[in-house]
Amino acid sequence: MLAHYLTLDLAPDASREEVRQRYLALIRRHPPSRDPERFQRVTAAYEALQDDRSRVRTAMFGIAAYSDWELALEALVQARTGARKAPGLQALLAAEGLTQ
Amino acid sequence: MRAKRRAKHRKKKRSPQQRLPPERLLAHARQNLDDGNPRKALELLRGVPRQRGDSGELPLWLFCACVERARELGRKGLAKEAAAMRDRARQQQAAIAVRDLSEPDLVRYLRCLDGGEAASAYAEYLGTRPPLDAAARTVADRVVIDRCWEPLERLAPDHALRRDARPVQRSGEAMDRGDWERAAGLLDGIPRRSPYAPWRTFCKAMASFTAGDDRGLERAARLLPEGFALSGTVAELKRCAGGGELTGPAAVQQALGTDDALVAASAARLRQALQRGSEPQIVRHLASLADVVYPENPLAARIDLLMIAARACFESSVPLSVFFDVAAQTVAEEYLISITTQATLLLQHAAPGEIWDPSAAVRYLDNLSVPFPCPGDQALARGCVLESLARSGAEAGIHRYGLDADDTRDVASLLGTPPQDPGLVLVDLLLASLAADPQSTTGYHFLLDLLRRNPTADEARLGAILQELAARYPDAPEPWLELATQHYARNAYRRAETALGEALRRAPYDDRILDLQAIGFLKSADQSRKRGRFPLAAQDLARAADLRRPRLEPILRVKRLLLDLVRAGADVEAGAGVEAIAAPLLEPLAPAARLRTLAVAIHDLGENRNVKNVDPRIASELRQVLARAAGAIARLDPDEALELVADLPADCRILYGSPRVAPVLTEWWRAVLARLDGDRLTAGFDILLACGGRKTVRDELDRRLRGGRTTDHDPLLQFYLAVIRYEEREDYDATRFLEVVERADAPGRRRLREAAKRLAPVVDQPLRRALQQFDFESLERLVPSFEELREMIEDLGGPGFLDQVLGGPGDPEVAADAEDAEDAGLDEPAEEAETGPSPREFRAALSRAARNGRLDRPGQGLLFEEDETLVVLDRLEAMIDSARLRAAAPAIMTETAHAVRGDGEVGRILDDLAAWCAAHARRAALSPELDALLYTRDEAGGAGKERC
Repeated sequence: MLAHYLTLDLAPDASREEVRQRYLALIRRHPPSRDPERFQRVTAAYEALQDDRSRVRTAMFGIAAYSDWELALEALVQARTGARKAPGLQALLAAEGLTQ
Repeated sequence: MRAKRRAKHRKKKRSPQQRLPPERLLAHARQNLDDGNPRKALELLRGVPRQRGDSGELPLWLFCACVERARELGRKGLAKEAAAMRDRARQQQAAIAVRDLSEPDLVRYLRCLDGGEAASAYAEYLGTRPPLDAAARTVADRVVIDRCWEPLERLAPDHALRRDARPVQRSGEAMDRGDWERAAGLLDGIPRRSPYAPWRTFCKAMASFTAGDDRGLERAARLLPEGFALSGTVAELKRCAGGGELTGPAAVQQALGTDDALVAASAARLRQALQRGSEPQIVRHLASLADVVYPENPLAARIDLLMIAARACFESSVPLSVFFDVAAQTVAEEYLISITTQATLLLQHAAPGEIWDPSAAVRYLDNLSVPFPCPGDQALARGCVLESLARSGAEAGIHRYGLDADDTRDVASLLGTPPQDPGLVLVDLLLASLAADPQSTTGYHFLLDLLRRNPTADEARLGAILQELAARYPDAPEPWLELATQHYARNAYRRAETALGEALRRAPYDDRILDLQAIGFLKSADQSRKRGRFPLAAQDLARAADLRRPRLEPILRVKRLLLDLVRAGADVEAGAGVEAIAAPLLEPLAPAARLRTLAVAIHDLGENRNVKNVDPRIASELRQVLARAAGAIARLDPDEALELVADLPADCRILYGSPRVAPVLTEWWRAVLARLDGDRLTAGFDILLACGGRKTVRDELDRRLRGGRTTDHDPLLQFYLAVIRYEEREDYDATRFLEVVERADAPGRRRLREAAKRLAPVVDQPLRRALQQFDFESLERLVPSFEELREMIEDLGGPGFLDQVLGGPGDPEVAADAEDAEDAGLDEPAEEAETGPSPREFRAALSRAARNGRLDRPGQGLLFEEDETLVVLDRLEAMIDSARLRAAAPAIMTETAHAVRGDGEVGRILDDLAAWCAAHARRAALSPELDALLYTRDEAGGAGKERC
């Protein structure tokens, strides 16, 4: 399920170690005392992707975890809108039309 | 031709702006370039007369406009057009004299050059003119963007552009990687006045942005100079920091992940399309949302959104064919099967029991390499699919109702062998799931749960499965624990103890095993006592005591007392008092514990009253002892009184598998309740309600609420009364609950919530759900009108169903079919007999039955064939569910029955069904609701129960 990868700002082919490292980095950045909602989302995403079995189950049935489809859509949008990216310079130049 | 002429005419026509004087045209063009509209600027510059070109101003503006336009076209992906525009720009470049340009014109010109050209042009400019900071910064921007460092050699060695280039060069890689913090660190040594300084600030701004440090971002963004090359990014960063009014271009927002508004708007459009079920709109908005949600890999986003669309169609009752069409238009063909079957499995997983489709599982597993290219993932996915299928099958009751031919074929394909026992097909699926994914704890525990809940299955086969599990998971105690439980259930104590020994070997401190072992010893002691083997019974009790299970201590005491009494049966006959025999055991106990021990002992004796060696006089004398001891209840303080009953439900559950206690224990409950007040009283109520003592609680509530003892807990007591009245079906709506909740103040409501949570497990649906959610609106129900019921019946039976049933014209085709079937003497085709009649057959059968007339006397003949009647009854049960009449209060059902029977013909059919059920001893199998519907006398006096 893409929402979890977006929450962790990772590509869907990220390795287990990458997932773990990003999770640790994010909970350091968003501790539960400061941003409980974000912390909860990050933890839920990590639990869904922490091992191969969870990852496969999430890929197949992750959407079923929401009580209805609107919540599933909301979660995807929220995961996408809540995540600031760290684009490289070339990506920014391309977005500004500054590359030849 | 006419169109061509019009186009030609249009070309010749000049716009009002083009008719302006050349100076005004140039000013307008300049303004348009500043506003980021090079196309309009070019159009305006085209209107400037040729002679103006001699001044050198026009070539500069044409050059800048062409370059800006080329960049704009490049952003839109029009590479060919952009290249052509650059060619046009180069044609103008030769006519530009760099040395003659003013400062702003020079900056504009440099901004339109690439890095190398900009450095060369600036070096040329410096040959005759003084240095310009803004121009140097522009050259720095161009050099960094294009990574052209060699032309800087033309500048003097101490020129800042050349001197400070090295660290910027080194930081390029980090910038490209998006590691802005590192890039900022590398640029730290650059002087504040260096033309590269804005890049250091930009790196800091980006580092703050990615770290979510809005204060740092705001500080850095404020320091960035006007005219910095990445102006769109800077505008967006300033907006994010809360300081800027401008927003960056959509592409920049997308790159930074700040296009929230765009994503939200796109999602809102898709949501609306899904709510409408409009296929073209879903296709369009799904694709556009996927592109903005995850532009790096829109296919991944599309797959997720398709799963959401499948759920939306299913939950909004939009035909799933809409989803399949959307999927076909949204993803490439090679993904289609895996996505559509995954959606089916997802719906099965999300709504277990409503869908059970093994064929989807077969097709999904056949195409497993598409979603999961890695073989390890494929095995996990296989295990997951089979487990989900088993769970959904358990909800749908597949193991009870069996499989049809298609399902059998699909399950055989999944298992690799035809299922041997239809009752164990889910177990087989789980075993196959565990074979694919042996470490799945959820599958393992569900399998054990399934085996535990499957009392009808073949014992030998169950035992074999548990043995197989024990072999497959040699370190797990659970299979042995289950085996022991099964052996105990069959009174095979020796085998049970062996199995428990194996379980204990694997988990020596597992409380579940130790409890089961102790209970096993207690049961074994009971058996020995009943058979008169008192030493053996004493030995078992001693073994149970050795296990030191604190929870079982009170029960152990009861068993010891019983053994002592039964063993001393001869002494009792000889006149020795029971009180004297029991004294050594009872005297050390506190009054409350003494009473409870006696009460449970009497209860236990009651269970054993048919056993020959239990003298009835023992029970009778024990009762007398209890009656004398019960007098002590009045002297107990409230805590002791509560302690007296506190553990009863748990004791009874351990002893008899149910918290319901015998009437002997309820005799002195009233006296106990009289000793309680406040929170202790509600705790006492909770215990009694758990033990099935609803009547006692009701009496006590009535007594207290009559005015004798009104306390500040009144709303809570009213709440308990409301729960009991609803359970007793005296109330059938939310009125009383809402009144009580409304009357309570804030702390009172908190207490009500806590009480609701405690009471939820001891009541039935729908009250249980209402208590769990503390929402009583759901208890409000309206009696459906006859028209509504008629619609529901027709929904179930098909259009014209009632007309056919009532002997009306009906569907001629169906009637013809029915006649044909009659003529051929075929009541039921053999194929239908297995799967049950189709709706069409059902209607035909009812048409036939309606023509045959009604049953006048039970036993005279059948109105319906048995199978047909059972189908009708099933459908009526389904109708009760659809009308949300399940567990309705009797008053509701009576009212509904009257409403239905208001139509005489429907009443006639219900009477016939009632008569048939009575004649065939089927009434006991009816649900209470259907019973009420069939056997409630209507006002016209139509038969029902009496006639039966």
